[in-house]
Amino acid sequence: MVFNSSVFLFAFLPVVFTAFWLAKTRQQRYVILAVSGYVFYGYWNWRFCALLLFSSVVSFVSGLMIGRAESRAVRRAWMIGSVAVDLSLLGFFKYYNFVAANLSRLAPDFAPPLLEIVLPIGISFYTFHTISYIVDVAAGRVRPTHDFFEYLAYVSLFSQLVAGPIIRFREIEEDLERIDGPPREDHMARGIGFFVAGLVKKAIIADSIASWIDPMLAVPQSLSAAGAWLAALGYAFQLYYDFSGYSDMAVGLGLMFGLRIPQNFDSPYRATGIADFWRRWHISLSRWLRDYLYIPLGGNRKGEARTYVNLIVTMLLGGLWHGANWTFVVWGAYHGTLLALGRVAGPAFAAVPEVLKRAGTFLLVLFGWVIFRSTDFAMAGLWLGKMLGLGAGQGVVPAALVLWVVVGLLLVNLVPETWEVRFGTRLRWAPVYATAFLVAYLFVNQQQTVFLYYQF
Amino acid sequence: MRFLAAFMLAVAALASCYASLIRLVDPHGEFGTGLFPVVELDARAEKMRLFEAYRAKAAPEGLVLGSSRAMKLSPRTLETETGRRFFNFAVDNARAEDDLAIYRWVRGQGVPIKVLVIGLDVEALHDDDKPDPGLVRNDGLVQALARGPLPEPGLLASVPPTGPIRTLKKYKSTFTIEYLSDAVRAVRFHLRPESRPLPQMEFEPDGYLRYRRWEVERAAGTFRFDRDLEHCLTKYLTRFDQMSTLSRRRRAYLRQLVEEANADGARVLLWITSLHPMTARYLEAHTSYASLLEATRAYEEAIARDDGIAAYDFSRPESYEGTALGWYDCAHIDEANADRVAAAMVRALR
Repeated sequence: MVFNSSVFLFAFLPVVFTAFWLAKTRQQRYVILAVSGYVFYGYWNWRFCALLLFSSVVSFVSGLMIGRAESRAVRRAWMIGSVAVDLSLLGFFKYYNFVAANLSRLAPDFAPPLLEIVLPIGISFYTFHTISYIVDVAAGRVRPTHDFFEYLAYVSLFSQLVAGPIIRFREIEEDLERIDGPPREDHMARGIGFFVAGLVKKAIIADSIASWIDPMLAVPQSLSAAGAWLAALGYAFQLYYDFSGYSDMAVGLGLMFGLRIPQNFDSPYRATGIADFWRRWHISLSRWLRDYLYIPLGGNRKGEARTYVNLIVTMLLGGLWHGANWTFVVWGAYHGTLLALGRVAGPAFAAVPEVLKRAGTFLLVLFGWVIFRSTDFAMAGLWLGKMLGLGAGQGVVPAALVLWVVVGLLLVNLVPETWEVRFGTRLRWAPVYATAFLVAYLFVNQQQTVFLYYQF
Repeated sequence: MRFLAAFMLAVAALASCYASLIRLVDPHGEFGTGLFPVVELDARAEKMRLFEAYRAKAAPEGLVLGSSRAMKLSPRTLETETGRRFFNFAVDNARAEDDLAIYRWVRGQGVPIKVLVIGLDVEALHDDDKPDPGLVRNDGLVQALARGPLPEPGLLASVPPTGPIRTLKKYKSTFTIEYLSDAVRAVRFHLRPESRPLPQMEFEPDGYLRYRRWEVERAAGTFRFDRDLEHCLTKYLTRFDQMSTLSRRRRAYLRQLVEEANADGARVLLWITSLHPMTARYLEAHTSYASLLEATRAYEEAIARDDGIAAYDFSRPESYEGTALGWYDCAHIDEANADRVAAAMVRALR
């Protein structure tokens, strides 16, 4: 089920919302959130609910055992065991065929057979939720919950289950503990505002751009130089408005249920360096990688050389997290390298005007998106080559795409991020939100699409 | 909760206003309001209206079904060749369920069909299993489809033939940006009739398609085949990019149609329609079109064998002696190529 579908908007959400606020006790509300998460997830493929439940049970029990353990070694053993189970599931479903296919090229005699594996939607996200919980419990940063449904509500919360943001238990624990409170008028108004803003971003901006660039990228051979640049720019805006739109909708839905979901985007295309970009883009993932991968690897505490290695390894694995494809690995390594270079050469650019830094960063990110969007290196090479004037196709550049790219450039540079908007909470704002919702729905109903990050 | 209540009330009020305005303007002629010009031809509704008028003069004995790729098959040519009166009931984006629904609707009008000519596109058996919105909105066709047995439930299971849910779905389908822009165009043409361009498509009383604008351009020597080539290719690329196999349900619908026509004593002719050779090559290079076409041929042969009907593979223009110039765009043949298709088919009818 997706947020921009009629079944979600007119059936699932009203039913869950009504049941949630009619329920009085904390326990009842945990159960409603947990069950609704499984219905939301099972609507796509009910068989994978068992996998989600298994992963949740393993981490919940491990959390309890860590809490009871008296020695550090036992706590560590439970943590490693639980994380190993999570990573094994993720590894099998997401990377088995990738490894098998690569092995069959390198050593055909030793390669395991390819299997018909369906990637469970959202597995990358809920695996990171459970891992962060276990690691935080083991580190003493959070007390393990003894309420199974509270934990299920956290892992399977439908607003962030399949595409994030990646929330840590400690970020939402306080709201979960107070979930039996009455609805807050300001939360409801801001929640609706966030949700509608996200729907507008996704349905009107991202999907409109996609309708122009997808056909062009289906035949990259025919891209002209201008078409290649416009497709890259279009994709940069499509991805941003698609994913930040989804995140806004998740935040809005959270608020409607009394849960404050953290910010996931902060005007990323205004970044003045790659490190700054990663503080603004998919913030919950960047922080997760920093806290659960980069710092455990040693962070910047083991000398300059090791810091660069840690940066590259972290980003490389972050790239691989997006999908089992070498293009993601290279995209991650590209960003890791840029981060390392930024650390080395950053001071030399201190005097460069901010506008140039911003433009340069955007350009570097743009080249990265070309690799990210390409299905293989042949496509990436072709596309990048055309952008650099190597070989020109006969493809037509749609005027509408030019217009959307100009609009995109203006929006990302001039319009504030959703979190900076002070959503009106007085009743007179309700018709404004309703109008925006209805206009966005005209686009939603035109063509049903899914969010780009569902595939990760 | 007051804010939420206000928001929902506002959404309901705005949605009601929108639906009322759409009903009033009626840009697709679905509600029969008739106050503003119809700007987007609904081929299904239009051909039903034309058929009733045509039948009132003299009932046709032959029926042409299929998509826009069969719309240029001339009833007059077929009548000359066979001596039977024909009506072309091909509708845009026709899928197997459209053909069955139309056949049943025609039979429901008390018109016995002696010759049924079905133009079969590969994508008429698309495995997306999504009925065209034009069919979903059409009360008459949905009700006609529901009147007979269906081999596989599901294709229109969510579309009740009557009742408030159907009405609701009909109005819901108007909540699109395309519909809204059509409504704006209808109002503009009403206020300034001279701003209305020559219609792209028009049907003659026997259902035959005329491409008015292209015909004028051809006569003036300004017609350019490649003007919308990229758009046309992209449209077909998107269509076939999302097709991986022949739909089991749609194959069953097609077979049901053939069996019903056979049971009614009609002579059935099934022909696979063609795409421009360049389009076919393009799709073969980028999609599974080649294997899908092969599967369609195999399925057509199986139906012909099992049900004793005449089957033709006109997927390549050379199979009906078509020419490379006889095209209006990357998928649609002109009247000359259509007459060649008719001639190739009726040779077997004689």
